[in-house]
Amino acid sequence: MKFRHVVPALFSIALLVSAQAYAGATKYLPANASDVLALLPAPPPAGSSEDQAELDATFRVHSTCSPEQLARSKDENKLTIFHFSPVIGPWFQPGKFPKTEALFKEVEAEAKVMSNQGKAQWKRLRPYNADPERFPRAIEHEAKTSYSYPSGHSTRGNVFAYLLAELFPEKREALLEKGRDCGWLRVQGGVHYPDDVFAGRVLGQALAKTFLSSQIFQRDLAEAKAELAAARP
Amino acid sequence: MNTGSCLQLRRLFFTAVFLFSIAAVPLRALGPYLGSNAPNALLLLPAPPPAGSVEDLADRDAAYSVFLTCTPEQFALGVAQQRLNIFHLTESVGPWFQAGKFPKTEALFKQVTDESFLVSRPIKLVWKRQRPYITDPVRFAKVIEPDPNPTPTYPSGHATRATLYALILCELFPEHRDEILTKARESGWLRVQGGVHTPLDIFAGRTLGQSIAQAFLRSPEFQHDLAEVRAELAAGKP
Repeated sequence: MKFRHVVPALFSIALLVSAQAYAGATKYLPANASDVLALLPAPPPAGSSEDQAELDATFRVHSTCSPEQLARSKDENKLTIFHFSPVIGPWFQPGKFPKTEALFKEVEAEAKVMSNQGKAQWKRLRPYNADPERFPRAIEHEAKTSYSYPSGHSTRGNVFAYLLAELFPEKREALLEKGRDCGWLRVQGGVHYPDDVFAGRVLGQALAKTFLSSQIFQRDLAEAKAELAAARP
Repeated sequence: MNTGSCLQLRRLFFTAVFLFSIAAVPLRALGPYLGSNAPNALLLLPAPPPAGSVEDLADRDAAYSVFLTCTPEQFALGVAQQRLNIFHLTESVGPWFQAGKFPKTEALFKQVTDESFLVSRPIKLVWKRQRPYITDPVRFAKVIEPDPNPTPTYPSGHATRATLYALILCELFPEHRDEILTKARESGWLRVQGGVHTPLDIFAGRTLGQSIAQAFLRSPEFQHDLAEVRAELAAGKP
C-alpha cells in the first residue's frame, strides 16, 4: 500500500472505531434505536400550500399568545423534569435527587440524538427562519441549521412525561397533559410548527417504550424510585 | 381443593380468556396479511388535544382558514375522492393503468383496504374527537361530505389509506415514487380543504398509514401476492 493511501485508510478506520465507540456509549437505547424515525411521515415540502398553511397557523398561535404563555415558553427553553413539579409536588426540586437527575440527564441526551437525527434527515426550516419578518418575537433565534421537524422539546417533554408516569403512576394523566403542553408552548413561542410538535409526540412516545424495555434503564429507574420514596412527604 | 371449585376456577379462566379476546379484537387485524403484526394504533398515536383546549381550538382555526381558501376545483376533487381508490394516486403512471383491467392488483388492494379498516376504524372510537363541521356548523357551512352523524375525526381514514396505498404503489412503480407520494399527501389535505378534517387528523392518519404499510411489507404472504401483482402489471404495461 502506498503512503498516500495509508492516511485516508487510517482516517476511515479511526472514524469507524469512534462511531462504534459512540454506538456502544449509549447506556439505555439499543444500537438500532434510530429505526424509530421510520414512524414519522415526511413534513410538507417547503413552499407547498400545506406548508404555507402551517406557517400561517403557527403565526396565528404565536401572535395571539399571552405574555404569560410567552414567558413560560421561554422558561422551558431549558426543559427539565422539574418543570413537572407543579404536577408532582413542591418537594420535587433540583439538587436533592442525584440518581433521579442522572437518570433523566442520560435519557435527555439519548433522546436528543434521535430527534436531531430526524431534524438532519428532513432539514425543515424553523418558522422564524422561513419567514423572519413575521416572527421577530420568537423566543429564540437559532442558525438555519437548527432544524424544525421533529421538535426536540416535544420529544423530550413526552419522554419525560411517560417515564415520570412510571415513578408517579397516580399522576399519570396530569403528567401526560404536561408533556403535551411542553410541545404546544413551542408553537406559542414561534419556534415550531404544529406538526413538528405532533411528530415529537409520536417519537417521544415510542422512545419512552424503548427506554422501558432496557434492563439497565429499569435498574436505574428502580434506584430512582427508592431515592424518591425516601424523600416523599 | 375440591373438584367443584377447581371447575369453577377453570370456567372463570376460560371466561376471562374469552372476554379478553373479544376486548382485543377491535385493535387486532385478523386478515391473512397483517395478523398479529398489525401496528397498535393506541400505542403509536398520541391522544388528540382535549376538546376545547387552546391547542384543539387552534387546530380547528387552522382547519377553517384552509377551508376558506378552498377553490371550486379542490372542492370538486375532494368530492371525487370520497371513495378513495389507488387510481386517484397514479396519474403519473400513465393512462394504461386503469380500473377493471388488473384483477389481481385490485384484489390485493381490496384486501389491504379491508385489513386497514380493522386498525383505523376502532381507534377513532377511542378518542371520539368531533369533526370540525360538527363542533362549528356555522363556519363550516358547506363541506364536501356533510353527514349529520359522522365517524369521529381523529385519525383521518382517508389520510391513512392514501399514505398506505401510496407506499405500496411505490413498491410497484418505484420510478413514480415522488409523484405518487405527493398525490397521497394532497389526498389527505383535500379533506382539510373540504372542511371534514383538521390538520392534526391528517398528520395522525399519515403516521398510522405509514406504520400499516410497513407492517404489510414485512408480511411474507403479502410479498408473495405483491410479486404476482407485479407480474400482472408487467404483462399489461405498454
